Amino acid sequence: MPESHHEEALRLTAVLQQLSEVPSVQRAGGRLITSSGDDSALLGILQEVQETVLPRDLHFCAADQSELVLTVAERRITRMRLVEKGALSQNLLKDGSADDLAQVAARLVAFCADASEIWVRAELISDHLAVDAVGLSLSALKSHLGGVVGAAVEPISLDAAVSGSKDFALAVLDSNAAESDQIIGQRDLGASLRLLDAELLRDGVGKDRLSIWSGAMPDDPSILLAVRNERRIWLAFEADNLDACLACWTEVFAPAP
Amino acid sequence: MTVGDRLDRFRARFPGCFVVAFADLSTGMVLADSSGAKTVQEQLDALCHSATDSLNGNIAQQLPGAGLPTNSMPQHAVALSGGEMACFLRSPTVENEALCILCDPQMPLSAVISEGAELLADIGREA
Repeated sequence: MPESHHEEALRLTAVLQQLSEVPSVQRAGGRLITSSGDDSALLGILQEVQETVLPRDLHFCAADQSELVLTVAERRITRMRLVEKGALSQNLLKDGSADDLAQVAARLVAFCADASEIWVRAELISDHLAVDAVGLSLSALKSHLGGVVGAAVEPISLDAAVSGSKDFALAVLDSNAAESDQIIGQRDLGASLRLLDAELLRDGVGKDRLSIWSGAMPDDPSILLAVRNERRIWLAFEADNLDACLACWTEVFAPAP
Repeated sequence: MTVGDRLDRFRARFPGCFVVAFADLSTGMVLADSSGAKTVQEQLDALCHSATDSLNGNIAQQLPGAGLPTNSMPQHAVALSGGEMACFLRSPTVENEALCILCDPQMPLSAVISEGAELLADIGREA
């Protein structure tokens, strides 16, 4: 065989070999969330759940090709699937029962114990059965896991909650922003929020809290007030987005561990 | 079925609701309640006071006049403080009656509000 043909054959063999390889999870477009395999794996997974508001499948892949898929909507885990050694087990968490909680916690701990490295990738979903299930709340899961690892999940800041609200907010008023930048979104609603803020200042701002008011008609905008250290955030949003709004804001006011 | 029975059934439907109380906002009195653990009268009074403040307080009264596209007082309100979430629903038939709910902050509240409004309507029909 001429030398040039031999080189071509070698190159072709290499290409065919590459094509025959199953792409590993490391190359599947995932983001590495831990490489230490200790509690940080569990913390990394909980952090991903905490940051997920819109319905998504979170695919957690370990180096041994096992894969844990959590369907998460508004920070609630509504379905868990585990692919291990080619076998699939699945749980739809319809009612968030104590059995579901124990099972999910045990699976998470086992998955993290076996994994030295974990990658995550998120996919938007529209599976109504999974999205509509009551599922497990993050706070219930954290307390079931003993508060040791759960407590270390970073709390959400006011700024992060404002940023997370941009998908559904009609208008936002932030008392900390410069006068000309205080209102974001619809100006007329923002002006209404400014009137409410003036009323609040007349009464006294009071303690840190979250308040939401909703009107009688479905089209009435709901109004949110978040107060922390005298900073006031006012937000107008459509009443249909109440659960999404709460998912963004309740963690801001979660009690300190 | 008594109001108390209805509140018990509602709480059984939503295990994340720790206390469900039916209150008269004009007098600040809890008329019936359902709770998992023993709830002292002072707690119920505080819950009712919070409901009055949320649904009829100063900010609530400003909502229809603040240029917002709403002409009525708030129909429901949520208050979260110190890790405890309260939800207050005004009766669609008697404006000074309300349902006061203490619940897990992670609950899907829109379902609670929807079924709570039906419960208040049922109570109003039977009165």
